[in-house]
Amino acid sequence: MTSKLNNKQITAFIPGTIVEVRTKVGDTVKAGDILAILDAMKMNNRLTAPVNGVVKEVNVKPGDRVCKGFVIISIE
Amino acid sequence: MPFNNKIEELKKRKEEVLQGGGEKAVAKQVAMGKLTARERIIALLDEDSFDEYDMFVEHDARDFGMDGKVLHGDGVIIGTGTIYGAPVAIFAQDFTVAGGSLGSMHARKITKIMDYALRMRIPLIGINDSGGARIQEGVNSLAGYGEIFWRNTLSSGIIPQISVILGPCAGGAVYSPALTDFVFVVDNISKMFITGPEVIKSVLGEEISQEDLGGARVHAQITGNAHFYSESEYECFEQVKKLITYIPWNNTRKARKFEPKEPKSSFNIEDVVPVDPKEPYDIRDVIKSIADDSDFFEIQENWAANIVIGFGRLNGETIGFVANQPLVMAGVLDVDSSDKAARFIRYCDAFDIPLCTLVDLPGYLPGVDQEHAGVIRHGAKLLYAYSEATVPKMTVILRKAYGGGYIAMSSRHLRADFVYAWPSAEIAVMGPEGAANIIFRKEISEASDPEDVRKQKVEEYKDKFANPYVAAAKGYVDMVIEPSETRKLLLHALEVSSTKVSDRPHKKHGIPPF
Repeated sequence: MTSKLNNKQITAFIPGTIVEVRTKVGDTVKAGDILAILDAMKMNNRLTAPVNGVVKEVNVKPGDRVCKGFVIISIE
Repeated sequence: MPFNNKIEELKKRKEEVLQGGGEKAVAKQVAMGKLTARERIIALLDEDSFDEYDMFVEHDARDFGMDGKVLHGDGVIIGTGTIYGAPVAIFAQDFTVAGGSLGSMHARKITKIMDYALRMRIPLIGINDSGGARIQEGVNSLAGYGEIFWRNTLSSGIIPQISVILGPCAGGAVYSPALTDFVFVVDNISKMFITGPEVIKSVLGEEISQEDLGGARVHAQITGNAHFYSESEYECFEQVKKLITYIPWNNTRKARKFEPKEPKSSFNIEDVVPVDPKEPYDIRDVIKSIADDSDFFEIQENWAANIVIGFGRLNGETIGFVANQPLVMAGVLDVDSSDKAARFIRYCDAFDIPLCTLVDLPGYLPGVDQEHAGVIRHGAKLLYAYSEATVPKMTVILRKAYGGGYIAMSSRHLRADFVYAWPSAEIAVMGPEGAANIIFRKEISEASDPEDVRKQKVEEYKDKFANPYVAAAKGYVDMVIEPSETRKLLLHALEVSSTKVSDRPHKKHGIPPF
């Protein structure tokens, strides 16, 4: 299975700084819910849930710098 | 009646052909969740409008026991009909007849209807559902594909060509859809790949299902090979019919004009775009606040979503919208979004559809993977497509327009006819942070409190350059406008550009960075 088909992880599309985290492990989320905000490319990018599910990991807190491809949140 | 006997025979012959591959094969088709080729044509075209040609064509294969085998219509149905009154030529491969395999007569029927479509200057719709080449017919089958590809290319830019993938479309067969303008796929039904799972397994040892390799979602989200995705065949046909309403019959005609309608009041342009340039929003809401009846028909919605393309109408006339999407990856340009927009721009230019570009982007996406994926060559397609296009080009800069992104997004310099900027526009060589760090590097590093000076210089740069007035002072922007005036000015622009002339030096063709 190619990584692009695995849409249960939210990764950083570019390095940036986490501004806000709006979820925690165990939360039930719906596709499209805003789970975190990533400041990058002159934008407060909304990181939204790609699918319905339960939050399995949250690997960041506000202020964290993340590199490209870093798994910020995963859902199962 | 003197003809009675003859008519009876005709009816009997027709009746036989109408059975396609026979009861068993049809039951199999239904079991796969698919409509038959005939049902598809009926569902797509206006009632009673279909005229079938070459119904009695028979294959001419003699080898491998093919002699004497009856394949009704040789596995493909061709003809003409109408969609909302607009004439179209159509072929539909019949999977119930020898798996819709392509032999020489099958191919000759397809090329016949392609020739007809080109001669009559009407759109061509191909419904693909085929196991591939008819192996028994050998190189004649390959010749058939080649003849189809050649005609696809010949017709490109003259008549609209639409491919609807409703079954397997593998190997060489995929290149006909790939050469056409719009590809439609349906979940769980469409499968497109050059080499299938079996070959991949035997050569590379990798295991993957047909669906994960080349299913509808893959082509709608990952490869960009498909333009429209739907969950059922009927939904797919509705999309095809809707598309037909936006495009002209051929490149010498305008698309059908509709009754002008004001946008819906639920889309208020001033409420959509946040003042803070760091806050994202859905650019499609801006399009809906501008377009007639707030109607926007999006193309390639799920692929390279950082740029939005599609058709809407202004004053009843079809418009091609191209817009950065701040909601996805901050609206950056990259390899895929450049490809996506460039091809659409060339489509609109070929079919005389004016372009409206909405700009709000931080620039090109930096990164090793982008550079190594050839963002130079792919990004250049966008510059080429805009520069080459001679249709009326209207540009509205909403917020950010920085660096190469500013130039690429239908700037004055690439011959936009009208460039409007909102007061919130920031048109500059780069963002305030980056620019201040470079211009004031020495002052910042030598200051007793570098961070303080840096912030001050960023603000200074922002005040001085992050606005539309520097570009307006040079005439690169024609007008700085209030957001609420946007639609009105676009309508005016369209009105004065209907008689636009655009003289270019003669050439055989350019060499775009494909």
